[in-house]
Amino acid sequence: MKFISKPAPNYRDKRSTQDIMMDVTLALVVVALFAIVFNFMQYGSAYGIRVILVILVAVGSSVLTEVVWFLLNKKPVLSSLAVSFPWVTGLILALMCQVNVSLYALSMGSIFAILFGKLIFGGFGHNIFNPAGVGRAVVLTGFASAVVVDFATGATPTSTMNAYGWLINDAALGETFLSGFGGLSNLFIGSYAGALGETSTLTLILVGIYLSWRKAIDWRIPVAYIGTLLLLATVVGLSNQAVVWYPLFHILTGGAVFGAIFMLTDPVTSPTSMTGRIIFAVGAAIITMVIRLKANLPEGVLFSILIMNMLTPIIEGLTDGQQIKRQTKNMRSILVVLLAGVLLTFGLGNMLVAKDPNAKVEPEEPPISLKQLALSDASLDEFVGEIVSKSADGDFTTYNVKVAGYGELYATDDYYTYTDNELAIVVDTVNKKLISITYVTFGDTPKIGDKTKDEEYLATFKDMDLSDLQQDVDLLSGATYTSMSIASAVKIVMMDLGN
Amino acid sequence: MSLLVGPMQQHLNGHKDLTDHNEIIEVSPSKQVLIPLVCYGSNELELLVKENDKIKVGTKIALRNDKMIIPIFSSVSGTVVKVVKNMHDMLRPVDHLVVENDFQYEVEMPFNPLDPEKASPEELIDFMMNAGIVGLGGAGFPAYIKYKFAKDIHTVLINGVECEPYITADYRNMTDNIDKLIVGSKAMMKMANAKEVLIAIKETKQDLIAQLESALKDHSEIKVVKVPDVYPMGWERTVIYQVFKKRYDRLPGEIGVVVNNSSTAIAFANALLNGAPITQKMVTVSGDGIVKPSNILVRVGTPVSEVVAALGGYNAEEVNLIAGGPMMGKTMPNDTFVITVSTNAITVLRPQKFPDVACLRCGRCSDTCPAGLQPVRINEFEKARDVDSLVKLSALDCIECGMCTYVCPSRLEVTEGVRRAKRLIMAKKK
Repeated sequence: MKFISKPAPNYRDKRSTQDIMMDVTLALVVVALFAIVFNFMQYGSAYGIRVILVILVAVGSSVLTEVVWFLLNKKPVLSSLAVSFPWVTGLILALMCQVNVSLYALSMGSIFAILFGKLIFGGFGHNIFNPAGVGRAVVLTGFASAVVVDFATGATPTSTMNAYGWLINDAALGETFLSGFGGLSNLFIGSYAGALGETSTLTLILVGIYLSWRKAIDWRIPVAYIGTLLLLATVVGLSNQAVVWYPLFHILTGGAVFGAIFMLTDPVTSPTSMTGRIIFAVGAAIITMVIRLKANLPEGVLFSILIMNMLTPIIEGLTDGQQIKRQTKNMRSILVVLLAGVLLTFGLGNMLVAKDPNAKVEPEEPPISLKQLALSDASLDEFVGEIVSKSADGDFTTYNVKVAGYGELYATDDYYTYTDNELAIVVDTVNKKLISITYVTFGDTPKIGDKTKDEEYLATFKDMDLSDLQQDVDLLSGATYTSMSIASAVKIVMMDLGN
Repeated sequence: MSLLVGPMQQHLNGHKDLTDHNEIIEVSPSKQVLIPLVCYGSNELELLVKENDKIKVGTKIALRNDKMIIPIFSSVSGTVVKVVKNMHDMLRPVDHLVVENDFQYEVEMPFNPLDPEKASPEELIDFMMNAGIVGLGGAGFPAYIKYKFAKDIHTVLINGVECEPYITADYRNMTDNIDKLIVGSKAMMKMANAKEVLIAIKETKQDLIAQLESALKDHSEIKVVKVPDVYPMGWERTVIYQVFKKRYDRLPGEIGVVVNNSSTAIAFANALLNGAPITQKMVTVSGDGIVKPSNILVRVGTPVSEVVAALGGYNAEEVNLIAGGPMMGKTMPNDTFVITVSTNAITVLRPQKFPDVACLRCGRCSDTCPAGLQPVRINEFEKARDVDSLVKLSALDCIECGMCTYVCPSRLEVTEGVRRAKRLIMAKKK
C-alpha cells in the first residue's frame, strides 16, 4: 500500500486549460468557416481556396515555429505543443488578415508572433503581448504593401470611413456610404470585404455567447469594450450631428467585436481581477476611439489591445486587495477611466472635420520661410549653385542654374561629388517676379526627390518676387535635400535679379 | 455574484450518493484505542488518569484548562496503558493516551443530565463547557465560548450544509436524530437569548427538509432555510451571507448571529438528555479508493487502519488518504492516525495525474475565492517573496478551503502557494 502525500485539496474540477483552449479553437473554426463559405459564395472558388490557404499558412507557420523551438530546446515536441496551443495564435492572426494578404508576409508574421510574441517570454502563460496581435502588427507595419494585387476585393468600410475622416454628418453622403456596403444589416451579417474573421458581427456574437457560457472568456470584457465604444461613438456622433447609425458603425465594422471576443479576453495578457478586466476593456475602447479619430491608421483595435497589454501590470496593481472590501474603490476606478474617456473623445470629436474623399486636397501652407532659411540655415550654403546661362527674351529672362543635388555619387578626376540638379528658372525682369521653374537635369536619387519634380510643387514658387524671399518654401518631407537644392537655386536667381 | 466580485462559490460534484443512504456500520476498536491528548491546537493538557487506572466509557481523562476549558473523555472501558506519540490528523505527531479495551463498554456518567427547559442560560453554558462540546464542523472550537460572549444575538444558525464532497455524516446524523437536533437547537437559542433558530440545509436534500419541516410544526421558533448546493456554503461567512445578505468583519456576533454545526447541536442534546460526552462519532468513509464506502459509528481513538479494514480495505495500490473531505482534509502519510472528536470523514481517493500546464492567468481562482482574495496574485508575489504585497492582498484571510486549486484549469497547487504566502507573512511578523 502506498500513500501518496500531496497538499490539499485532492479534488479537481474537470475543466482544464486544454478544454478552454479547445473551446476557443472551436469558436475560431466557426468564424473561419464563415469566412471560407462567404468568399466561395461571394467571389468564387479562387477566393475560397485562397482563404483556406491563408489559414493553413498562418497555422502551419505558427505550429512549425514551435516544433523547431521545442526541438532546439530538446523538449518533447508533441506533449509540449499540446499545452502551448500555437494554432490558436495562427488562427487569430489569419482571421485578422484580408484575403489579399501576402502569404509570405503572413508566414513571417506568424513566426514573429510565436517567437517574439510568446516563446522568448518563456512560452504560453508568460507573454506580455497578445501573440497574434504582435504578428498582425508585423504584417501591418513591416509588410504594409505586401498584398497580392489581383486579389483586391475592394475597399473595406473602415478604410473608407478613414478617408471620410471618421465623421459623416451629411445624410446623403451617409446613404451613399452605407449602400456601398449593402446597408447596416449587411454590415451586421458580414457580407462585405474586410479582414476574414472580423466582418460578421452576427457570427462573432454567437460564438462570443458560446464562449461566455462555457466560461472560456469573461463576458465582462467584450460587454465593457463594446459598451464603451458605443458610448464614446455616441458622444462623438451627438457633438457632431453625425448620422444616426454612426455609433453602430464603430461596432459593426473593423476588428472591434473580433478583438473584444478573441483578443482582449486572452487571459494571459489581460488582468486577473474582474475590475481589472473591465478597466482593461474600457481603456482599450478609449484608445481604439482615439486611434480611429485621430491617428493615421485605418483601424484602432489592434494597437489599442497591444497598448493595453502593456498596461496590464499597472491595472493589476490598481485593483489588488480584498475584492469585497475594494468594491466601492474598484467601481470608482472604472468610472474615473470611463469619464476620462468620454471627456477625451468629446474633445477629439470637436476637432473632427468631415472629409469628402472625392474632393481635391488643397496643398497646405509651406512651413519654412525661404528668407529665414537663407539667413539662418547655413546648410543652405552647402548647396553651392551657379548661374550657367542667362538669356533674355523681352521682359522675361531664363536663368539656367546648376546647384548641388544629393543624387548618385560620381567620380571626377580627383574627387567624388554628387550629380547636380540643373533648373531653368524664368523670371519677369520688370516686375521682378518668378514665372516658372522646370528641371533641366534631375540629379537626385530617384524616388526620394521625385516629389519635387511634381508640377504642382514647383508651381508654389510661381509669382515669387524679391520681397517674397520671405515667402515660405515647402521643404517636402523625405525630399529635404532636393527642396533645399531648389530653394538655393531660387535664392541665387533672386539675388542676381536684385543686383 | 456581482459585477465586480465573482460568484465566490461553485457547485462541486458531491458524490454523496456513495454513502448517503447506505446502512450505518458500527466499527468497534480492537484491543487498543489511542485518544489524542490535544484540544483545539493545544497539547498543554492536565492528564487526570495514570498508568494501569481502570476507566470506563465517559471517564474524564484529561482537561485543557487555560484560556478555554475542554475536558476529554474515554471512549472505551479498560485500562490506561501509557502516553505515546502518534500521528494526528493535524499532520504532526502528538501525545495520545493508549487505553487497553476490555470490550465491556461500561458507562460512567461524567456529569448529570440537565433539563434545558428548566435550566438558566448560564447553567446551560456551564454545562456545555463541562460536557466538552466542541464544534463538530471540523475546527473543534469549544462551543460554550460563543455563548458566553454572546451579545444582542437574534438568531442561532444551525449549519447543516455539509458542503465538502463525499461527506454525508451530518446528513445521516440529522435524519437519524431529528429530536435531538431540535432539543439542542432550542437550548442554544436559550443560551444566546435569541429569537429564532434557522437550520441551513442544502436545497437538494429534499427528504431531510421534508422530514425536518414536519417535525418542526410545533416549534414555530425553528425554521429550515434552504441554501444552494455550492461550495463552500458550509463556511460561516458564506452561509451567513446567503441567509442574511450581510457581511461581518471578524465574528458573526457583530450582526447578531451565532453559528453552530448541526452535529454539535445533536451532541449537545445527547449530553443534556443522557449525560453522555462525545465518545462516538458518525464518520463518512468514502471515495473511489475504498471497497465499501459507508457512514460508520466509531469510537474516538480508533485507528483509521482498523476503520478501513472494517470496510473491505483499499481498492487501489496507490491512494490519497485524507483526514476529512477532499477539499480541506489533510492528506495523510499513513493510516495510523485515529478518529478524533472532530473527525467527520475519511476520504480515500485514487491519485490523479495531470500534465504540466503554465498558469494562464485566467483569474478563475480569484473569481471563485469565497474570501474575495486573489490567489493568482498571491502566488505571483509569493514567488517573488514580496511580503508587503502579500499583506496588501490580505493573504492571511485565506481559510484554505481549496477552491482555488479545485478550479485551476492548469491544475496548479494554488492553495499551497497561498499557504506558503501565509507562512512568509507570519515569519516576517515574528
